[in-house]
Amino acid sequence: MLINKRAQGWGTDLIIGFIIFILAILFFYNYSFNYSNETEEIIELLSYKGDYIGDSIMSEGTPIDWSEGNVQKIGILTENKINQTKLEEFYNLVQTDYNSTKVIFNTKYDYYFFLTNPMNIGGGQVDGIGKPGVTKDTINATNLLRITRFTIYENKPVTAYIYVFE
Amino acid sequence: MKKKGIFFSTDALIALIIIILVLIVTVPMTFYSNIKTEVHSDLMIVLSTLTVGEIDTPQIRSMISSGEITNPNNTIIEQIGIFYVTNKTKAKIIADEVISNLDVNENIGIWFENQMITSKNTTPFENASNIQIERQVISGLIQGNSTTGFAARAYLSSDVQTDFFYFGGYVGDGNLSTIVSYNGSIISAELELAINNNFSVFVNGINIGNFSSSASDVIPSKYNLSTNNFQSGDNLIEIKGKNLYISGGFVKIIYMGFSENFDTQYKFPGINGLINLYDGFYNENLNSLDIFLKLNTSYEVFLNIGNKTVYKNYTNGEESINIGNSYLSSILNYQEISNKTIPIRLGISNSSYISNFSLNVHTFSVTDLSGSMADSCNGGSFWCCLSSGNFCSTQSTCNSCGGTWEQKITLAKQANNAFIDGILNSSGNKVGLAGYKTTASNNDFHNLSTNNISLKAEVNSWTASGRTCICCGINKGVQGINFESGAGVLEALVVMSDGEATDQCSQQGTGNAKTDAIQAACDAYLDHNIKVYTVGFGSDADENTLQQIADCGNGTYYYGDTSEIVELYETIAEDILKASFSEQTINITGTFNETIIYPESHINITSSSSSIIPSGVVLTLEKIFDNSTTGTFSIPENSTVLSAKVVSYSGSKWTNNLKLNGINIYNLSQYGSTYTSLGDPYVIDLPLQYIQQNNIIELNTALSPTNISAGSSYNKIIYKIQKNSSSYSSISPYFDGCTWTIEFEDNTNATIKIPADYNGSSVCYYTSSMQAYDSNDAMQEAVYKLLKVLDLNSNNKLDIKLTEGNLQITSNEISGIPFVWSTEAQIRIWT
Repeated sequence: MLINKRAQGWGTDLIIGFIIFILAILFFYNYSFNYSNETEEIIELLSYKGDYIGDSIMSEGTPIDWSEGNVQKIGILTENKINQTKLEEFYNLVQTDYNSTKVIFNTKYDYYFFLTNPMNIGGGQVDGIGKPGVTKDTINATNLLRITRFTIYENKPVTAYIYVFE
Repeated sequence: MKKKGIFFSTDALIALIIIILVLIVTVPMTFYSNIKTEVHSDLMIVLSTLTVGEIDTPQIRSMISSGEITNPNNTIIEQIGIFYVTNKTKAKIIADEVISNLDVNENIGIWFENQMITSKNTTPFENASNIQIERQVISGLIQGNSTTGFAARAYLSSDVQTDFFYFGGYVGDGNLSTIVSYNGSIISAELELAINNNFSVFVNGINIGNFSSSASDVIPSKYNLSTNNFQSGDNLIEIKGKNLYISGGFVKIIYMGFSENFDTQYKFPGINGLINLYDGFYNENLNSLDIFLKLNTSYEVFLNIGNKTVYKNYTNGEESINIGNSYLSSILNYQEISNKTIPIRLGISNSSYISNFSLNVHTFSVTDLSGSMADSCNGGSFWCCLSSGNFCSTQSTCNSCGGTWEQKITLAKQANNAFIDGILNSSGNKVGLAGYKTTASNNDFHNLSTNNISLKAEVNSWTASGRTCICCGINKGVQGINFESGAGVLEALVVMSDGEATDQCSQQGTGNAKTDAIQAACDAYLDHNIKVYTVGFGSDADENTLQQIADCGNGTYYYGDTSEIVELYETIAEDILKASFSEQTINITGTFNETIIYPESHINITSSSSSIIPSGVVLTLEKIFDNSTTGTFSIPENSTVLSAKVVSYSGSKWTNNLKLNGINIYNLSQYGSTYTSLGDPYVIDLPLQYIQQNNIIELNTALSPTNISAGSSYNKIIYKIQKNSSSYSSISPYFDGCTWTIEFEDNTNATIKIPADYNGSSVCYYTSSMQAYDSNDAMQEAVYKLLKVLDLNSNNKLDIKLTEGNLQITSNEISGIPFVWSTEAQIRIWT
């Protein structure tokens, strides 16, 4: 008898412990799955779009000597340096029709491009190029991603930033 | 039971919590470990695009204006690369100029190869858990830009020549001379001689110095000669002194010019005094010989080639004698003497013209008179001897008790008496006696004397007692000989002992009785030219020590049992007398007319073999023997042997036999057993066909075919090889130079500026303790590679003595071609 009781006791313990363990594992997977929530998806998307916009801007563009009228891809470099003409074209394009540039960049998110050094556009200095009405210090966004790149502007190595946000 | 259930449930909960905690910790780590950025790629593009001329900073402007940056069109990464190999501090300055302007959140750095040039970081690279690298190989090919490199070639000047002008195995006696010929500009001149007396050297009639004799006639000394009075062409080198003889040696010159082939002519040395030449010459495929002698001798002079006398006459004043090939070929068998070193002997044939031609002998018999030398009983029964009443101290009781009566002191006396008779049998010889016990006292001493009655009386007075001080006996004998030292005398000790040395001598002071005895013999020979013969008497004699005494005293060791000691002493006396007649040195007392052979005298040797005309650089190497009988030498890889000779310092003996790799190359006895009529080559040529990569030479000397002894440990092998002795650098960023410290095989060092006008601060080393140079300097690299070539046995010591004059450097500046130190530049980011 004593031997039988012991067998029953051990079996119950094992079942209870196993159930607790399985419940916990299920809980953990549920937690992990929910961790990739909507916010993260947005960040991933912003990152993807930011990389795309950054790569585009840090290129020579299409066509190589593009202008406001024929641009297919906005890029501001020539021979790895910022081309002042293309920079001003980009600036003018944004000023003229910001949303069209978002179409060219194939993004629904807003963006803002600026350098560590002020950009000289049309004889004056501008803070950056992107969503009208904002500066790099006044962006008010729910989600924002910053892309950092290096390039050459006016024969100086500079850091370029692209903010992508919504 | 319930308690147990709760208990196990708790265990499960704890295990689960641990798993969850681990997952919570690891998942975020995994998530954040994958950094994604393009800044390192961007930075590489920036550095590869922007030129130093474009980047307008005060620091870089200053570098350009000061010339530190020679090409403003270099990209920044190229310029960092150039500075990386030339000046890493400047490389960092340039890199900092760029990276400091960048606003970056990541840890970022610039690397060349595995060396960090600069970085901008918040956590050290060593702690990085994730690294991304952008790479780029830096060379002059970057984006079509070109840079300038240098290549250098270092080589030994092919017109630096080394030539030897050899004296014979024995050249005497008097003032000696030779003609040294060269075409070019002399760099150095050196004499290596085994010579008997102090001497002066004259070059072209001008005294250039006075020098001391060599240590002995088998130990040469080197003498540097001033080259001021040498001139291109023939130079008369005269060696003047009192009764000089050279028992081997040469004049060695190094010069810039072209070498003539002197092997087709044997040049006689000039001798003004008593013509007494023992030498030899080598020929290959002998076709013809003709001899020109310029002599002035009122005595008959003979010239032997091999064992054939080809000339025997006197002259009426100065005469030139031509001996043609037709006559010589009728006497000599050219086929027999071809491809060999042939002994030649030039001397005065009739000694009756000159007084006292042979040597007298002054010898001391140094005899052990210790207690063990007493007449005694050997092997008798102890109890029998005890009961005999006199402990077997007489022959009769010894014999009756079964022992053998040994008469050591009695036999030693008989042996000494026989020795006295043997030596004094020739007039002019003298014998002295020195018995030794615990010391060597005057009670057992007799001065050098010709009075055999007095000498034998002294011998018969000897008694045996005390210990064995062998060095005391030797020193006493030396003292006795020196008391009556005379020129033209063969001086020798005959040291006998029946046991081990037990007592020391303060005069030697080695701290050991045996080594004192050996040292005493060394001192006798080296300091006083007294030969030391030794005799081991009986079975208890210390043969090892006695052998060493004889070796150092340039004598011979003999062993004799009690039954043969008397005969042995007679033999020793005969050997000493024979030696006095057999050695090459002739000593003159009294007056005689001078005889002269002029150094223009020569033998023309015509052979059918074509001589090798060396192309490239010819190196002359010298390798001293490993010991007194054996020498070894190796032929360096990628080289061709042009000639190889063994030079033998045989002293007043004859070089008797030479073997190369076991093959008999020279054997004097094939020409006869009377060596005084045969030549004695100082130089023995080694036939090239027997020379291998690694070679062993065995050599001995002799007074006769049966009286053979070791040679000199100062013998050497002199061989010429042809080797490609040039080297090239790789294309390098600069071409500057260095002050080199170079170690040579003889453990001397030289400091040489290469090029000679180099005045920079770089120092380079090619020594056994340090190898250092800058591989980015084309000249340094080329020189280093050349030194490696000239280090024939790769022990970081040069086998060839170099001077600045030897070493030639050429350089080529190569433009438009990238220098080939191509290295990898890296931009690294890490978290």
